[in-house]
Amino acid sequence: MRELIQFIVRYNSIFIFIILELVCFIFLSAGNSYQRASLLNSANQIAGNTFQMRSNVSDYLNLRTVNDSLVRENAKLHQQIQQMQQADRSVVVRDTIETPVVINEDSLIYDCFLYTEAKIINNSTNRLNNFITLDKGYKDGLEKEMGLVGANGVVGIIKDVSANYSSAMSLLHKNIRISAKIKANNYFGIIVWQGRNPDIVSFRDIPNHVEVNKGDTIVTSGFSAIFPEDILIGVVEEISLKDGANFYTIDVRLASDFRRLKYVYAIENLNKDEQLILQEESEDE
Amino acid sequence: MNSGVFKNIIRFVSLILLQVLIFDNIQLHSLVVPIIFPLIILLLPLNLPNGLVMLIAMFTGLTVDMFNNTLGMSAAACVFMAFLRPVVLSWLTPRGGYEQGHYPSLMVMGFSWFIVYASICILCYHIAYFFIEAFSVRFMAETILKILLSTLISLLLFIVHQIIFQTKS
Repeated sequence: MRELIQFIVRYNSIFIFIILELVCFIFLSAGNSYQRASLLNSANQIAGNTFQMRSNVSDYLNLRTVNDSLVRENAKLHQQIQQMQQADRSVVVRDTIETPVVINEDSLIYDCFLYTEAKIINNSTNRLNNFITLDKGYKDGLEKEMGLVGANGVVGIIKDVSANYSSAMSLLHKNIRISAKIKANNYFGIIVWQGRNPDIVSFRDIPNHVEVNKGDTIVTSGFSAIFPEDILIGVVEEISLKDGANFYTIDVRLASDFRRLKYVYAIENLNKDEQLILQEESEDE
Repeated sequence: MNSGVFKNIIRFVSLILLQVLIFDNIQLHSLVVPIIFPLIILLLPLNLPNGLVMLIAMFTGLTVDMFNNTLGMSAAACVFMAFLRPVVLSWLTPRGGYEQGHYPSLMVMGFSWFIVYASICILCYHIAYFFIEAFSVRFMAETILKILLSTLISLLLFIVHQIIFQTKS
């Protein structure tokens, strides 16, 4: 017994080292799990306030680029409004000619996603797991697992929420999976990030008989209850097919520049619970 | 003694803020991660017991992790670096040994001594950090390149910091 104590005292730094590393790895595995929220993340008050402080100063430096992108987005939205109004009118006309149908069912599609704007106060692109910190939290209606889109498409998914801040997994995160489809022919697959280039993601699970071309637009599929359908992700940059493989390896160039993101919209799916319950029920059967 | 503790606390706060507010936002390239906060651990007094150094290292790492959402990653790497610090220090013992109460800073120990000391320590940090981050050998070549480039940039930051904030104690 005395020898054992002597041994421990003599090599105490090795024991302390092992214990501390064990604690670190426990933290590491807890923080990595997608479901469990952790207290020590950038959504907490200390980190949030610090980032907010910096953001208050540095925002002045990018006013011009932010303005430009907002104007561009405005123009795009104006155009979409016009197209929608025209489309609506044609629907009404057709309805009056044929039988007067109730179109309230369709309006559900427009109503079920709620957009909340938020400012990015911290962002990274050079890690293997990148996170985004937003300046809004549950006080503003943000929740876990809400989708984030920017002016040019998908940005990420919210992971932790505090009262005033939230932190989100960026699309540039090793563990993120987003259901997506080719806009032209509706074949769907999964978007994952390879952890290298912050401009490129890979699009998997497209079988080799499907026609894919360079420059094809990739959008969200709307299957996941997080993102609505048809939100831009990027365009096909490179297609390759390994010998004997059944699925293409497709590189997609992201539409958003993650290094310059400033404002995003958090999307709340008002029908999410219903959709998830329905999916679970049908999976159980 | 008390002014020494105070100085270290000031250094802790200022380097953490410098790291999370400025250097984490400099994205030169996806292979370069500029890091300055391990200097907090490198500059701790030489006579501090090693267990305490490791505890401080873990606390430092966890603070940075909180800002970066990398819970445990920097902390594990910092503890690893703090564990190896006395080994490096004993390799580099100058003739006649260290003087009581010395700080291992550039001003006190000299330019070449500091470069060797800092580069070995920060290399250990980066090796631990990037292998934990990748957690596989799939990105081997990239990880090694990342380690070398980031070590170089971080070393440069350390030297600049030491030249700007010259202190004798």
